Amino acid sequence: MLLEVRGAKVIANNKTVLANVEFVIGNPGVYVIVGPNGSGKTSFLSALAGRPSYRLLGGVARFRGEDISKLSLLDRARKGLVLGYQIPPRLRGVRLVDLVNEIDKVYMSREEFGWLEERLGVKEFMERSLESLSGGERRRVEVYLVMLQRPSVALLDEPDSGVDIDWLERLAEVIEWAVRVKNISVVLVSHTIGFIWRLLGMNIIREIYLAWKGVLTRTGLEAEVALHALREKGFNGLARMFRRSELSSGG
Amino acid sequence: MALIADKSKLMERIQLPDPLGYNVDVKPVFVEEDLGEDAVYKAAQGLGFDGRILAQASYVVVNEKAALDIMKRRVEREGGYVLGILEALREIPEVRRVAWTVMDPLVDKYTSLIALLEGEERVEGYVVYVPRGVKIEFPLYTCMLITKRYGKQFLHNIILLEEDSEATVVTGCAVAPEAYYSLHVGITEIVIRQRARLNYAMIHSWAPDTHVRPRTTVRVEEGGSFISYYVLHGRVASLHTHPKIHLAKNARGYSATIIVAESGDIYAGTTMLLEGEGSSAEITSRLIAKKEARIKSPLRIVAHAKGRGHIECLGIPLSPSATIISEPTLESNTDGAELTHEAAIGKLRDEEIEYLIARGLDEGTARRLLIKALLHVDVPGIPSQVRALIRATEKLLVEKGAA
Repeated sequence: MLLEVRGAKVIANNKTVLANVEFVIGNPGVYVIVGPNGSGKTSFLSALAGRPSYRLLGGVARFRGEDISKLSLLDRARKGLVLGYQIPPRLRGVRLVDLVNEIDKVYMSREEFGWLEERLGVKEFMERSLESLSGGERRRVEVYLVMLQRPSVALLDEPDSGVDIDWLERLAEVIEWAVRVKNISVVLVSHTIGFIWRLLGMNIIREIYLAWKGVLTRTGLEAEVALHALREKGFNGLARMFRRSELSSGG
Repeated sequence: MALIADKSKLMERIQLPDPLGYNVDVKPVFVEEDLGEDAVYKAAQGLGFDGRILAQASYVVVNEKAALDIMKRRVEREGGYVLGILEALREIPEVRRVAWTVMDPLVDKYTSLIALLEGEERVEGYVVYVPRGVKIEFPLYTCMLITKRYGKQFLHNIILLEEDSEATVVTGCAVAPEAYYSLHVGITEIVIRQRARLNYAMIHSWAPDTHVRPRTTVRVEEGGSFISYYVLHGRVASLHTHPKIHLAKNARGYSATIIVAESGDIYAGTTMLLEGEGSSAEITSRLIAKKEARIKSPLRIVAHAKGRGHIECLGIPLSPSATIISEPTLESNTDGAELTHEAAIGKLRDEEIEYLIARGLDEGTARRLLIKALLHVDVPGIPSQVRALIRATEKLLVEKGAA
C-alpha cells in the first residue's frame, strides 16, 4: 500500500476539521477528492504533507509502510509525498529559475522533465518572479514544481483553478503522463467537474472521495456515476447516493 | 590652487562636530603604517573585484595616491576623459566651471575639509568628463583603496556629462582587512546635462574601524537620466551618506541602495528633488542588518513640480541587537505630483520558508533563496558587463546575508 490513512482525525490550527478519514492509495492513478468549500480537503492534503499547523491524529497513517507522523515536512517532500499548494505564498522577488535551480540540486530532474516546461508553458516564466504570475500561470508552475520533485504521490490542491480552457487540456495531459509514464499517484482536489470528466475520459481515475460533514471517505461508486450524481444533485445528493450504495452492499 | 571659500570659515567648519553626532576627528594629522602591495589586492577582493577588473580600471587611488590610470588612453580614444581632480581642474575649463557649484563647500566639516585640502593640492579623486554627444560604450572602473593602518583618503570626484552623452561609471571603495582606523571622506559632484545618461554603480567594502563620510550631489538637467546602484556590505565603524539628486524637466532619477551590514552606525539616505515638470524619481532600498549593525535610511522625494516619484524600502534585521530604521518621506508643494511609497521591515516569513521546505529545500537553502530575492533589484538600463558584476556582487551579499 502506497498510502494508507484509516480512522485518523485531521487537525488544523488545533481544531478538528475532519473527524474520520478513510483514504487509501494502492495503484498509481488519480484519486479525486470532492467536497464543499470548508469541508477540510485542503487541511487533509496539508496534514498528509506534514505542514506544521496541520496534523493527522489517531488511527493509522502510513506512507510506503512508514508511520508518517514521524516524518517532517522535508522528509515527506524528499520521500515523494509532495504537496502542490492551492494558494502558494507570495515569495517576494523569488524568480522561478532560481527556485527551479535549487529544486534541481536536490532532485536532478530539470533536464529529464524538460518536456514539462514546454507542455505547461512555464519556460517563458523562468526569469520572472513568482509573485508576478497570474493565478492560472502560478497553478501551472505549481504543478511543474511538484513534478520536478519526483513524487510518488502528488497532492494537487485545485491545480485547475483559474486555468483557462486550453491550458486545462494540457494540464490533464500532464496528469495522464504522470500516472501512465511516471507511475505517480495524484490526489486531486478539484471543483471543476469538466476537468474531472476529462481525466475520467483518459481512464486514469481510480477513486472518488467525498469530504462531507467532518468525514472523508471513498464513495465506492463508479467515477462516472459519482460525477453524474455530483453534477445533478450536488454534494448532498452524492452523499445520499453512496450511503445507499454502502447499505445495499452491506458496507 | 586657489581656495574655493574663505579659509577662516573653512577652518571654523572642520572644528564642528559631526552633523549626525558620531564624531570623527578630521584634523589631517595621522600616523600611517604601510601594509604592502598585497593589501591592494586584498582590499579589491573585498569588493568582488578580481585582478582583471583592477587592471581595467581607469583610475585607482591607493590611500592618498593615484596609482594607475592605464585605461585613460582608451577612454580618450572614445572621446572622453578620466583624470585626477587636480589635473582636471587645471586642464579642463568645463570641469573648473562646475567644481563646487553642485556642492557647497561650507555644508559641513567634511566638505570644508576637502575644500581646504584642495587649496593645498592635497586631495585625490577622479574626474570623468564626457563631451557633448560622446557615448562611451564600456564601463569606466575607478577604485579607491585604503591599505594602511590609520590610512586616510580625502577625495573630490566630479563627473560631468555634456549634452547627449552617455557613460557608465563603476566605483569600488574598499579597505584592506588589516587597515585599522581608517577614514574616507569623498565629495562627489555629478552634472548630467540635457539628454545625457549616466549609469553609476558603487560597491563598497569597508573595515570594522573605518569611518566613511561621502557627500554626493547630482544635478540632472532636462531630459537627462541618472541611474545609481549602491552596495555596501560587511563591517564599518560608521558611514554617513545622503546623496541629493536634483531633477530638471523630464529628467529621470533611479537609485537602488543595497546594504548588508554586519556592524557599525550606518546612515544611508537619499533625497530626490523633482524640480522640473515631467521629472521622475524612484528610490529603492534593501537593507539587512546583522549582529550589532544599526542602519538608518531616510529616503525622500520632494516635488516642487508636477512629476512622479516612488520609494520602496524593504529591510530585515537578522539579529536581536541589529536595528533598521526606515523613513520614507514624500513632500510636495505642487499640484499634480504623484508620489507613492512602500516600506516594510520584518523577518523572513515562516509560511514562505515552510513552502520552500515543501518544495524539498532544507531550511538554510530556503532562507538563502529568500535573502537572495530580497537583495536583488532590477536596475534599469545598466549595460551587460555591469549587470554581470552586479550578479557577482549579489552572490557575495547573499553569502554574507545568509551566513
